[in-house]
Amino acid sequence: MAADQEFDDVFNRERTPMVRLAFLMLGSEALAEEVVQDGFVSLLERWDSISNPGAYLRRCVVNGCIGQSRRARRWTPPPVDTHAELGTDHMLDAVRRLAPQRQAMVVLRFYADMTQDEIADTLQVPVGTVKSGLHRAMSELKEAVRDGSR
Amino acid sequence: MDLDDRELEIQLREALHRAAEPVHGEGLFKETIRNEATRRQAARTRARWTGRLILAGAAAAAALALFAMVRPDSDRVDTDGGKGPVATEPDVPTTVEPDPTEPRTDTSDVPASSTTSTAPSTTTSTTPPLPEFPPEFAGMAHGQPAWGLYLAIAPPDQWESPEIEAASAAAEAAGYGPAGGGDINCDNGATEALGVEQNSVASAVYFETEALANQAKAAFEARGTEVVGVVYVTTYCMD
Repeated sequence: MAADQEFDDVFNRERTPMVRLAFLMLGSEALAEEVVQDGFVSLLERWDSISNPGAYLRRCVVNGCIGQSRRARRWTPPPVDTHAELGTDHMLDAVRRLAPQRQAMVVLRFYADMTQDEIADTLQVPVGTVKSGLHRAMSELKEAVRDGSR
Repeated sequence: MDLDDRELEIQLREALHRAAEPVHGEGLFKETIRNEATRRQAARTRARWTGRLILAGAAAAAALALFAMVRPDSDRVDTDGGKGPVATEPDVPTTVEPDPTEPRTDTSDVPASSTTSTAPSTTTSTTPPLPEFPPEFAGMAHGQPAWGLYLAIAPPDQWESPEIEAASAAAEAAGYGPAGGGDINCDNGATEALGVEQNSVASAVYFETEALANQAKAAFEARGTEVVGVVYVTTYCMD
């Protein structure tokens, strides 16, 4: 079926980038795969009504990661992933300590190379929120790296 | 942008790309995704049909009750000497739902129905429909007041106690997000109101209003899930 083939193409193209994006936000490959799988399931369920599958999937993944981060901070700590783990790098530790939405902004801007407009569209927030969020995140990161290097 | 900012950006990009590189998402499979999408679709269809059948049952019960009230009872002893009004037997319509397990010929989203008269001797369930679960509070944030519905409380550090796991499963079955054990200290006001130990582990769902929380409480209790209490709290640990 043509739709099946199209979905397969999106899956093959987006799987690794999306899991990497989620991994940078969550610090666990297992959790990242879980969130991305949920995103793909949502995409598949609404396949006929979605015009830009890549953008929809990215929005699902980023929102899923933000929700997961908030719950993880509020509830039990996320499981430690033995396969791949963040934590050996001051910069990454500092990114992981940012508030979930700011963390998403930083990862989308400096890993996914998205513009502020694209980030605003993905997070469904005004561009001004992205600008101020990134500005504050960079200040926090600068401070954290400076403290870490002392 | 000064040099420090530029340097920070460069370091940040390098660190993010370096960390992401070993990750490939090899644990993710198309087949699993397709199966999960199919499973969710089937669950939604089942839930829709269950709701319709419950409504149909309630409608049939109401129709029978009305029928019983207005129908003259031939077995009843006439106590007014035959002076009372003579009621005519009404033809009470009853909606009959199709069997959801059978293929439908009607492709519209509205279930096919037919109007038939039901014999008074028909035994029909009079179970009222279960209360529906209201939506949980979507605007949860650090420092946000909310109405917490507490499903289970476990002693400090008992993160995976059976009562917490059972409550979490009940919450997820009701369509709420994970309600797995959380530190009750994150909900300012909960320990005092519930009379539980500081640092207890709580399983809770949050609502915007007391009415919604009480509606959820009724819905849980109607399905056999006990509720510890409904408390107005200020939620923290979300910054």
